[in-house]
Parts: sequence; C-alpha cells; structure tokens
Amino acid sequence: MKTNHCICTGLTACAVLLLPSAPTFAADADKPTLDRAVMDALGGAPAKRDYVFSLQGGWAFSALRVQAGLTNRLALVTELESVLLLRNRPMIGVGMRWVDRPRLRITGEALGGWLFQNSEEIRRGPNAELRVRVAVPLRRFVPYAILSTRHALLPDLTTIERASETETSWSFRHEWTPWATIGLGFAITSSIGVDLAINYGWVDAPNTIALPGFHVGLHFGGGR
Amino acid sequence: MNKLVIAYAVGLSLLSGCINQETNLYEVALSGEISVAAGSPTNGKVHLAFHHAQSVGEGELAHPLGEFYREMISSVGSANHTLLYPQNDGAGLVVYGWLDADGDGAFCAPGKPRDEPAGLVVVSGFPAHALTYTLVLDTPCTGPELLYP
Repeated sequence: MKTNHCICTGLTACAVLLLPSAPTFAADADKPTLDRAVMDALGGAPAKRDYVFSLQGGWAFSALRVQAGLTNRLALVTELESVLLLRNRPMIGVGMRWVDRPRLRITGEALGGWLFQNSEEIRRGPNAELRVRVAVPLRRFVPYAILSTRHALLPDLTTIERASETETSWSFRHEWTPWATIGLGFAITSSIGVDLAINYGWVDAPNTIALPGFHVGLHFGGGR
Repeated sequence: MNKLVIAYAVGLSLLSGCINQETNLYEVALSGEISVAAGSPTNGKVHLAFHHAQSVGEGELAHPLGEFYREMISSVGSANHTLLYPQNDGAGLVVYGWLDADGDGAFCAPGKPRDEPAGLVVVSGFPAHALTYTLVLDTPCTGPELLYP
C-alpha cells in the first residue's frame, strides 16, 4: 500500500514537472522569471528583445556565447569556442525553440563558421554544427543537456609538376565531432546565473579517442 | 561582374589561406638497367624502393634516406617507372633493390640461404623529368642503410 502511494506521488510529481497543461512562451510572461538568464543561456533561444551573454571556461573547451532573441521562438547565436587557445572556432547561427513549457525547453540550433587549429597538426576550414538543447528548470536550478554533431571540411592542395604542365587539385577531408554535455545551471538573480557541466566531445571521431572535460559558466541576461 | 570577381577573389583567398596539407609532387620518368653481379643468383622478382637521399634534419643532423615509393618487377633487366616525387619531404633520389632469389617474398629470411643480392644507386641529374640509372645488385643480404651514404 505504502509502495503504491510512493509510486503515485512520484508519477504525479513527474507529470507536474514535465507535462504542464498548455505551452507558454517566455515572451507571454509579463514578469521575467528568476531563472530567465540562465534558462536562456542553457536552454537556448531567448525571446524577442532578450539577450544573454555566456562565458564558459574549463578543460579542454572554453567558449564565449551571445544569444539575442529575434522573435519569440527564434534567436541569433554567435559564439567563439577555444581549446586551450590552440583550436578556435568562431560560429554564427540561429536557435529555435521547439518545445517551450514552464518545466521544459527544447531548442534546436544550427551554426556555421570556420575552424582554426594551429597546433602540431594544422586544421582549418569551414565548419558547421547542429545542436539540440534540453533544459528542465526546477526553481533556481536548471539541469540541462546538449547533444550535437559538428562537421568540418579540411581542404588539402596537391600540385603535380609534370614536364608538360603543372596540375593543381583540391581535396577535402571530413572531420566529425559528436558532442554531449550534461550540466546544472543555477540562477543567482533573473539576470545572472552560473553553470557547471561535463562535456564529452569526440574530435575527429572515430579516428581518435574522446576525452571528457568540464566547464564552469557565468551568464548575464537582459532585455525587454 | 565586379561583384562576381570580388566574390571569387575573396573565396579564393579564404580557401588558399586555409590549406591543411600542401603536397608538391614532381613527376619523373625513370629508365633503369638492373643487373646482378657475377656469382649471384639471377632468377627472381626484383623489389625496388625509391628513396629521398636525405629526408629529415639539416647539417650534421641530416637523416639519410626516406622511402616514398615501392615497386616490384618480374626480373632483372630494363625497367621504366613514372614516379611522383614528394618535394616537401626531402632531397635527392636514390634507388635500392634486391632480388627475391628464393621467391618467398622476404629479403634473406631466417633459415634460408643468405645469397639474395641487393644494391643501391644515387640517381644523378635529379631534379629532371627524365632520368636514367644503372643498378647492380652485388651485395648479399644488405639493407639500404648499410649501402648509403
């Protein structure tokens, strides 16, 4: 009997958390919620006239990110990611809220940019990323997860000097980086928040090994 | 039209500024005459390895040899090759060869007679697109490291 009561209570709590009755867009709310900045930073896609600035530092990946709401569901995303200042990736793109409920936000992001890696092995070329963010706000806390797939095209140049002529040809190698992040954000105020997360990026999969990393982040938001 | 030219120029400069690996190959048509010293076996396939004369390092730290291409021919005699010589990886051209007298595909394998002849020649006149060489296989069971420099 006691077990059944626990199960019922647990299921009810899950339903309350994850399945509210009707979708609500952040722009509809007149008053900013306490977790607005950190939610926009980690869940993605701030509403129209909102913006959020994120600074995330850690090993091995660090990032600067600015997001600005264009409409209630669509936001401009720009970011600069760096791996120990050796591998840098400026990107620009858009983020769109797919699901926006009081207890759940799912956002899809598409970004394009350029990869600059100046370590022992030079890697440079156009780069694109598709990313899904899931955030589940719980009062001041925002547990979140990111899954993404990154693709870079690395151009190579081959020149063949023949007796009659010189031939030049381009070829492109593909670098794939699947990515996963799981973390926890915390809202200090409605415009300031922090987060701590574990990253699992597999650069040049499956030819290499993946090393897990972490980051701590600081987020400032505003607007409206 | 001007916009097209500008777009092309920008695209080209972006692309050329972002080369990952640049490979410069130099085509050489090489004609060789391969023979075996008197007293050595004469039948069998000939395994040839084409090397840079110097591959890495400079001055006293220069490292001799650096294989960039292999080829096997059916017997001693004349041979023609078209090589794509990697210019960025070294300098000079050396040809090393050995005769697979027992037909086992291995050079002087343990337990076999140690009479498979080998030889090495530095191709003179390189760089040029057409060159000739004469290779005499006259040293049994010897790798290129012992024959050059």
